[in-house]
Order: sequence, then structure tokens, then C-alpha cells
Amino acid sequence: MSVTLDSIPALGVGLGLRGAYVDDLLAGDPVVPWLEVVPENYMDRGGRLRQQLLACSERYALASHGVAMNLGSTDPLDFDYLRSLKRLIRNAGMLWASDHLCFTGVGDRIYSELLPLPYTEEAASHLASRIRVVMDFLEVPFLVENVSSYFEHDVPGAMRECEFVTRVASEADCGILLDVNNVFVNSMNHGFDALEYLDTLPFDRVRQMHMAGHAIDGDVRLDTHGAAVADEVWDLFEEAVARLPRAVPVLLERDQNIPPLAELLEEVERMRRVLDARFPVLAAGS
Amino acid sequence: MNLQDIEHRFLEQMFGHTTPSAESDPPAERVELYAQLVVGMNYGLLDHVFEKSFDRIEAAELGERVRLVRQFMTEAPPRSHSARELADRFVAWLELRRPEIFDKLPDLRRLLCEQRIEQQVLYANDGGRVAFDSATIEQLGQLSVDELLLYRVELAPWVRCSHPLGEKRTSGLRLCTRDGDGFAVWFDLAGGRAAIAGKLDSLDGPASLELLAGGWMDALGEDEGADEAEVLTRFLADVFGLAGDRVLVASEPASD
Repeated sequence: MSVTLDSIPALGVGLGLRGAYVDDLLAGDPVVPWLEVVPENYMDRGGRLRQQLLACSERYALASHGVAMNLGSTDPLDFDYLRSLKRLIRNAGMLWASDHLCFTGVGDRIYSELLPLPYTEEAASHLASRIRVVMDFLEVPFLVENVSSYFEHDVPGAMRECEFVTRVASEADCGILLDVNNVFVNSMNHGFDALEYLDTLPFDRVRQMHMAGHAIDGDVRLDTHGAAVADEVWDLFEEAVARLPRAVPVLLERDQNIPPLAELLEEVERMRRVLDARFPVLAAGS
Repeated sequence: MNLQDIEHRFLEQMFGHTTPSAESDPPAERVELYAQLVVGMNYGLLDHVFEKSFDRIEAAELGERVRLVRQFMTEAPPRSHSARELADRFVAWLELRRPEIFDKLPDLRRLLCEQRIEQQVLYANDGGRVAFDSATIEQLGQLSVDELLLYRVELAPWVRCSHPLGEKRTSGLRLCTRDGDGFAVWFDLAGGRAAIAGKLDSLDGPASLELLAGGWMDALGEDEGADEAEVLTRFLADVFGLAGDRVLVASEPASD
């Protein structure tokens, strides 16, 4: 495993940097230890957005969580994108970076949505080889996130999702950003056992976790980031934390129906209590 | 099918270019769900830029915004993740595929153009330019015009102002701003010589030519009979004129 993964600190529970509450984040004392930044919102942009990001970097630890690396695409890697991302990571002092196990477009169609890949050996090897290139290029610890999905490609020899994530991370020698809500959403959409999924994952590679809310639309669970975390996801979070060999940073995602910051912080506090119960030594030192 | 085939086939199915047929194809209703997510994502980006244009199109009953975006996604899908390119491509598509909208709303073309500029100025890169700190501004404010003009000016498509001025128009200069406190405001100088009339308030954002000019005006002190707007216009015209109408004041004085 890449030694650089160990440089990701156990920062506790953070929030996504969002315009809805950035002024609150910059007023008074820091409300969380770290922030996760969607780099595409800041890459090659200046003015006030950039100022806000740099101001946050002076008060919070930052990590990059991209949505446009298009890791699973069979198009060539976009090195203009990677150069811009690397520049931003360095300028803002971000400690690690992550993106998703998906594709967002191919050929002359780039849709900017996280689209599901087939869980094949070919896709796993393709992803792993590209992730290795990305890690070499970015020179920061790099994690890949399991995505929510609303169907699974029916292809011969397909693995289970948990096996696919494991295979990619092992072959790429990268970390895993475990999105607990996505595991739950997919378990409902595709009918698998979420605990079995967790049991399959190599938790020594899990170096960050996401928590978020979702919606129910008919027979589909949608990963909307638009509601409070569901009770079942809290339960799964406790199961995931119990499997961690070390404390890792956890992040609450909220992108729609964003409530007042104080309301988000209540969920942050609940996550912190779960982490503290699992890693009391860290809690005592915090 | 290999990975490349699967990816292409899925995207073709998403907007009806290929109908799911093989047993292994994803269910049509789930493909449609992804199509809706794609439309929603790109609609969000486009509405952020073209909200007023969409309002006008809908008010004239010339199209519903989400349907327009869906048609755009179907006929001319984006070729990059760039929000700027997405906006440019959408306008080009609208001109090509929905000319009747412009026939009935002749002012829409200008509004779309301004909103694209507004987007560009909001996202425009600072590049390697260094914002003046307040001490530098104060120091510059004490300089004479001749001394100010010794500072290197740098060709750039935009001149930034750091506070909201609202939309203003003067001959030869289009100002495109985003309403609301805190957004950077930029001036499009592509149209010709600069001329501006605007009240300068105290700023806490990145330093700008306007701030510099304000400091210069303050340094002039009371000048009876001088109209502030005229003084500022003259100052800017001098600076812009020096650099071919496209300038951004840099932070270091020229060495030669």
C-alpha cells in the first residue's frame, strides 16, 4: 500500500464546503476540523470564489473531492484537468484527493453525472491503471469512492460491487472513500446485504467515509444529499466504524435543501460521538 | 461487449439514440432515470447562467426550460465538463435549432450574450496576478497619475472591480455584474474605450483598478468643480489607453 495514505490525519467529522454556509464557516471559530472541497467549483476560477477557498484554507484542513475525473471512461485521461486540479490542491494546501468509481462521459458526450460501470475484470483493471497514473501525477494520497447506482450492468462474469471496489483499490494500491449512504442505497436498489458488503471490503484501505441523506422515489432509493441521514444509514455507519482499524475523517454531505448550519452540526456531533466511542483515545486527546 | 462498447451503448440509450433491445441492456425506466439526472444536472448549471433568458422564453410560451435542456442534451450533448463551454454550446444550439425563439424575442440574443459574459466574469481566473493589499493600495493612492502610469499594465480581457455596481451602460463599455453583495464585478472591455461612472465604496475584496482609482481620487483631495464621475472616467481612459483598452493593473512597477 502506498505509504502516503497514512498521511491522511484522523481529523474527525467535517463538512462539505458549500456557498450556502461559507460565510458562517468563516465567521468566528471553526465549527468543524476540516472541509471537503469540490475542486471543479474552483479550478481555473478567480475572484471571490477563490478568495473564499483560500480563506477557508487558513482556518480549516481541506481535502479535494472531485466529480469530473471521469476515471472509468475509456477516453484518455484529461491531463489538462489533472494539471488544473494539482495546481488547486497545491495552492489551497489540500491534504488528500478523491473521486468516484464511475464514468461521466465518453467520446463526444460528457454528461457530468456519475454513471455506473460494469463490474468486470476489464473495468477494474482499466480503473486501476488510471488511478495509478493519477496518484503518480497528483502526488497526494488518493481515494476512490463507491457510487450510488440505479441499475447494474448485466454482463457475463460481473463481480459483486463490493468485490469490484476491493479489486480496484487493491490493484491500484489506493485508498477507499466509503460512502455509507451509497452502500445502503445500492443494497436497497439491487437487493444485496449491506453488512456482507462491509465484511468484504478491506477496511485497512478505508481512509475516509461519507454520510448523507437520500430520497425514496417509488421503488428506487435516490442519493440526493437532500435530507437528514436516514436511521438505517446511521445503523450502517456504526457497523462501518466498528470495522475500522484506525480513525479516519468522516464527512457529512448535504447539497440540496440545505438547512441552517446549526442543524447540520447536530448530525456532525452525532457522527463524532460514534467515532469517539470507537476510538476513545483520540476522543480524550481532542 | 467490452467496456468501451458498454459505455457508448448506455449513453446512446439515455437520450433515445438507441432503444434498449438486448437482454443485457439496462431496464428502460432506469436508463430514463439517468437521463433525468443528466438533464437535471445540466439544467442546474444552465439555469444558474440563463435564468432570466429562460424566464423570457417561458413567459412568451416559446418553450419550457427543462424540456429545452433535454432537447439540447439529446441533440448537442456537452463535450466537456466546463460550465463555460456548456453555456456557449447551449446558446449555439438554441440559435441553430430554435431560431423561431429569436424571431419572436429579438432582444433575447443580447440578453444571452450578457449572461454569458456575466458567467465568464464570475469564473474568470486571477491568473498569476497578485491582488494589492491594503497597504499597497494606500501607498498607490498617494502617487500622482504620472507615477501611477509607471506601473506595469498587463493585457487581459477583463478589468475587475471588487464590489457590486449593478448594471450600468455607457457608450463603448458594457458592464456586466452579478447582483448581490460580495460577488466580484468585472468589466467587459471588448467593446472599446473604457468609460465608467460608479460610486466607489469601501472594499474588502481583492484590489482592483477601481480601488486604485478611488485612492487616486482621494489623494487629489478637494477639487472644486470636479465631477467625480468625470475624474474617474478620465483616469480610467488614461490607463486603458496606455494598454490598448485592455488592461489589468499589475502589482509591480515597471523596471524600465
